[in-house]
Amino acid sequence: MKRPVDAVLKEHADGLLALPGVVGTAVGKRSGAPCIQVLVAKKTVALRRRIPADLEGYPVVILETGPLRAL
Amino acid sequence: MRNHRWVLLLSLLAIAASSLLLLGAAAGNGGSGDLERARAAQQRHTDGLLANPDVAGTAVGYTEAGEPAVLVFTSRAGVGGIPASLDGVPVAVHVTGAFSALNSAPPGAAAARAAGAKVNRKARFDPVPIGVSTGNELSCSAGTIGARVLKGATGYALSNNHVYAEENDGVRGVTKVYQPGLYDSGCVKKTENELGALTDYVDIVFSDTANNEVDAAIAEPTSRTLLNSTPDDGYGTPRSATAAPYVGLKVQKYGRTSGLTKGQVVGVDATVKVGYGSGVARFVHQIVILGNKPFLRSGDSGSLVVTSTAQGSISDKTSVGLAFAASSNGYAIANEIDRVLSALGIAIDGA
Repeated sequence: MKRPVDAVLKEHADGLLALPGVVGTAVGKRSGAPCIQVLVAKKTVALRRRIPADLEGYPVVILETGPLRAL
Repeated sequence: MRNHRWVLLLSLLAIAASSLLLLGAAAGNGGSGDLERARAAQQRHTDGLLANPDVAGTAVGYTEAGEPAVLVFTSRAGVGGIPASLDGVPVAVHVTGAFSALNSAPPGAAAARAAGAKVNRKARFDPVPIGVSTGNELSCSAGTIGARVLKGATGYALSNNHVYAEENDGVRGVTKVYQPGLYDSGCVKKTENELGALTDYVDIVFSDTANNEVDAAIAEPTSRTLLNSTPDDGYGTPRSATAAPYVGLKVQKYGRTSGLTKGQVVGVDATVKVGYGSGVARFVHQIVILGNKPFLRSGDSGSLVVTSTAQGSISDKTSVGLAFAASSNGYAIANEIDRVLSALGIAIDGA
């Protein structure tokens, strides 16, 4: 039985956010099913190598948002 | 008429571009290199495809199986004459009827345009609608009044901490707030533009391990009446009811810089690191929104995010977020409105 996606993300968010260039994490959807999103300043080869493709059965999707700033 | 169709095409192409982003992300595909053949096929065949009156646009993206594809957007289901592949690249047909609602301007906007009226959201208003320029006395800047809110029987203007309290520098009951914000009066403090004073705000902890939930502040308007609806080219009056966001929810905002924009929730329960003048602050439980054009621009901070149509059990104009940040690639970040309201002990004073 898979754990809920928010519980999985909660456990892994700090580790993902510690990677240089990661600006956020979120729960999203891919093909109608829950996924984990990793928001990055720039999608580099190094980051793609360090971010897992899957966390406890949930696909991990990298979104190249760019840096976030208050407007 | 010709013009009209051209505008529609352009907007659908813009939507196509944002869908491409979404689909690209959905397929978890990294580089753009794998899309080059699809892009070449799309460029070669777009004119021919658009000659079909039921084809509204094209884009490159991925099939459901994750293969690079030419996306064809149609105005209705069952449009004939679209090939299954182009130059060996598969074609994925999307019926974009659902998207077109994103582009429909409210009747107010059409009426305003018909009357030749243009709303200058950076001007001084009396009475003051929501969605227009505001700011504090401590810096030459401008943000947006998101909503009229109630604390007890008193009405307040809701915006961000960084708009009204200058990133924790404001003094409750003392710091003056302006409408328009000082940036929109050439940085000159005009007595007639004073709206009232900062009432309360939630402190932001500037740390990349902090668990901030909201960037929010309220100010009491004492010199002019504050209305609870946008000017005519906006969405009108938000509902007092709120809803929790979910992925796929269609939303809109009306703000000082970009006026009415529409978008879709693409991520929830987000943890994000946001750059401020004072440093980086980490926020948790945030909403990620992507528009068909930038959903939020500089000066739109403080805009209320409401639903753009009725969806399931949620009515249109239901409040879902308070927008405060965005990225260079068009992603906007908003606080969950329920967390804003409970942190400040307020309620949306809407319809």
